[in-house]
Amino acid sequence: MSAGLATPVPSGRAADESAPSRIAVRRLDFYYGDAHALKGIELDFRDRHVTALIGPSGCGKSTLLRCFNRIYSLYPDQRATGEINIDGRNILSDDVDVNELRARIGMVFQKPTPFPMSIYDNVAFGMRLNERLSRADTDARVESALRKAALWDEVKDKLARSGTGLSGGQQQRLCIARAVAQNPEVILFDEPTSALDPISTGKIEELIEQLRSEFTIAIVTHNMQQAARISQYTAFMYLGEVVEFGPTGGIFMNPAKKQTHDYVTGRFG
Amino acid sequence: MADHIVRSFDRDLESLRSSIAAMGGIAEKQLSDAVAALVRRAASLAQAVIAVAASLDGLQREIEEQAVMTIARRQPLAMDLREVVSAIRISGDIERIGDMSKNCGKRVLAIADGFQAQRIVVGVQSIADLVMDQLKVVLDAYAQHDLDKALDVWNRDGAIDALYTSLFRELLTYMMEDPRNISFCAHLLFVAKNVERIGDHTTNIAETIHYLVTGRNLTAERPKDDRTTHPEQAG
Amino acid sequence: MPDVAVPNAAAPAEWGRVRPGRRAADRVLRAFSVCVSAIGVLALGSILGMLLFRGLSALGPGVFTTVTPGPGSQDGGLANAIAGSLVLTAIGIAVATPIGLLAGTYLAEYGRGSRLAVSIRFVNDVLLSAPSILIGLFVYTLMVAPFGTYSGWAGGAALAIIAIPVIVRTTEDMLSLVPATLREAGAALGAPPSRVITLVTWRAARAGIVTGIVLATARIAGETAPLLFTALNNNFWFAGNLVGGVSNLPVTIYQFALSPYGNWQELAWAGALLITAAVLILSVVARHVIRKDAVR
Repeated sequence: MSAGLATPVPSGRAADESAPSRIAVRRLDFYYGDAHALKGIELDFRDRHVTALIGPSGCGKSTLLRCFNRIYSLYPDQRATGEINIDGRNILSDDVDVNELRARIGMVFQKPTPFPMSIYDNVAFGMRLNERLSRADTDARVESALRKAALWDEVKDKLARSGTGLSGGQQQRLCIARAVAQNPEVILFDEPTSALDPISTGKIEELIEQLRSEFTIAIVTHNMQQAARISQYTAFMYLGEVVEFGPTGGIFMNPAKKQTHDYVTGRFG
Repeated sequence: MADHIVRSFDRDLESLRSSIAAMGGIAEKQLSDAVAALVRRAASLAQAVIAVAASLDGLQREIEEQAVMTIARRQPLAMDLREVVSAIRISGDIERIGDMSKNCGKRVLAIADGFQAQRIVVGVQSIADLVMDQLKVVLDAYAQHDLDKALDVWNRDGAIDALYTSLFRELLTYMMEDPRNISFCAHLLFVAKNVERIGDHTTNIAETIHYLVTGRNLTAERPKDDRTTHPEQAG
Repeated sequence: MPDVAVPNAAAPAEWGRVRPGRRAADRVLRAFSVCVSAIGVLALGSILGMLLFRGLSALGPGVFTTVTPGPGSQDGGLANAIAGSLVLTAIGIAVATPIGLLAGTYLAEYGRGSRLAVSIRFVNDVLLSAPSILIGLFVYTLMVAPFGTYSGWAGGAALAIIAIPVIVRTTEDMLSLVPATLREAGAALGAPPSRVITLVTWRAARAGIVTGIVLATARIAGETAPLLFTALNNNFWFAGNLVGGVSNLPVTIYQFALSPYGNWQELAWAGALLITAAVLILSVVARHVIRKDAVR
């Protein structure tokens, strides 16, 4: 058949097939105790792209995200096997310093998690742990992080106030600023807007779109329209496996697998 | 296909599909009435054909509104989104088909009191029969999401174009034979052109069905065999 | 916009009526509850009223400036007992706070499900409800009998042992209330567990932990039994090194109230009022801290 293939891409900027892979997941298995939560995951996250992980609750998408900074290792009965190569280094190997790893990989959670300290101290938290900076340098980094998180104008006059006194949307942007302040290579978002109102959600989405020019971004979301809006690549996961992975336009307009189709059109049952 | 978890979504899509089917039925009848009016030179039937176009306009607006509401309310994705987009496109095509049939009706009114021999009309009747068949098949293909049927329609458009080219020559011949035929045949040429364009719309619909079923656009050049627009032929 | 007529809903099926039996049962239970509460409040109120009435009349400037009177002598105050109580309570809390805080932190942050943590929690709960006289005896055999003399140090130690389980429990509970995502957020920025605890979770639970310490202070400020065997009591200013008996309010009240002397009994009322007021103030402070934290 002489039909051409024209895949529409809903998000503003198209997927760039030539972008290098930043995170390469190979044969990844994950266990909660005896429960086998991720099965042989193979995925590539491209540099400076937003990759969305979608799927029904319990499909393992958050678990996968939590492997990238090994946050799961806080809990003794959780373990991962296989490889996750970030810039060519397998971060699951024992000789990787998890604290250094986590400093290089930012994470934003479903519920805003401002620390009970001033806005300034929240943003400076990571730098103070890992770097020795002069007061002036710290000030500059805090300001730049808050600007990148589109929060500077709202908080510049009250940096000494508690971070917990901000609104939910502002708190979430504060958490993004806190992650950005570390100059990470990758930022992980775990359902960052599911606790926010539509206006705050819009601001966070706009922010993610901005951040993608500098960072590699992985986002877990239950909101399929959100994934379609902000990501360039989408992986659909089900029962601990990646069912389909590809450019976002294809996943949402013309998925190859029936399961993906049933999920994105709301027929899952 | 499995039902949606939200079942009113299924009802929305079903209602879009049945509205398209209703439009298609009206357009089919309108076209066959237009041809019958031409063959019998029946002015009253032609009047009815002209009147029907307005109801197709109304139906098309309704479908558009329904589709926009569905997009706003359900944010459809994948097949569902294609279903809604296809409904908008196809209703537009059918509405244009209605306009073409209406034009045919107007031409019939202009020549209703003509005395020309029936054989002159036979050529137009045969191309119209072919197009009516195309329309019927493509509407079936839409109702059944049948890609093969749609591709058949798409591929057969060449035959209609070829028929139109030969009909064009035939009508020219009649005009040269007897100058009294000129006015009559000129009107017939317009009718034939309208019918041929209805054929084009059926292939548009076939392309939309292809998009609906596969998610990809048919981008290759459509089979064309219409040489009337070439200067050395039509000159 | 055109007016939208809202048609009346079809008349619903008749609503069920409350059966008379149920209504009566409800009334009986309500009356009973009110009665019992009234009795409780009345008892408490009469104690407080009595305390205020007798205590206020005995309270005068002399109570704070002069030492406790000897048997048979007139007037006198509670200055040495008040100072002694403050010192003993301060020692007790100073010892108990770091131990309780760290033990509570272990239970909530590091131990969690471990067998050691489970047994510590169990022992701590037992200690929480142990009779305080037992703790006094324990410290007596450990710190008084071997040296042959009562001391403020032994008294402070006994009070600390009473305060520790309270602080351990509140610290653990308050730390457990800190959401896990806050710890994860700290760890996700590259902070090792020790920094997450000191910089994030302690801060988040600060109000609750402080409240626990304040409540422990209130608890030990009024303890009598453990001091009988450890700090004892006397009618003089205590030595600077706290060796020998250290006068204190609870034991003073205990002894004076049992005495036949009118001025001693008066002073016992005054002392009881002072302790009650101190405990009340500490509780109010604790509540205030909690509420301030909840508002934030």
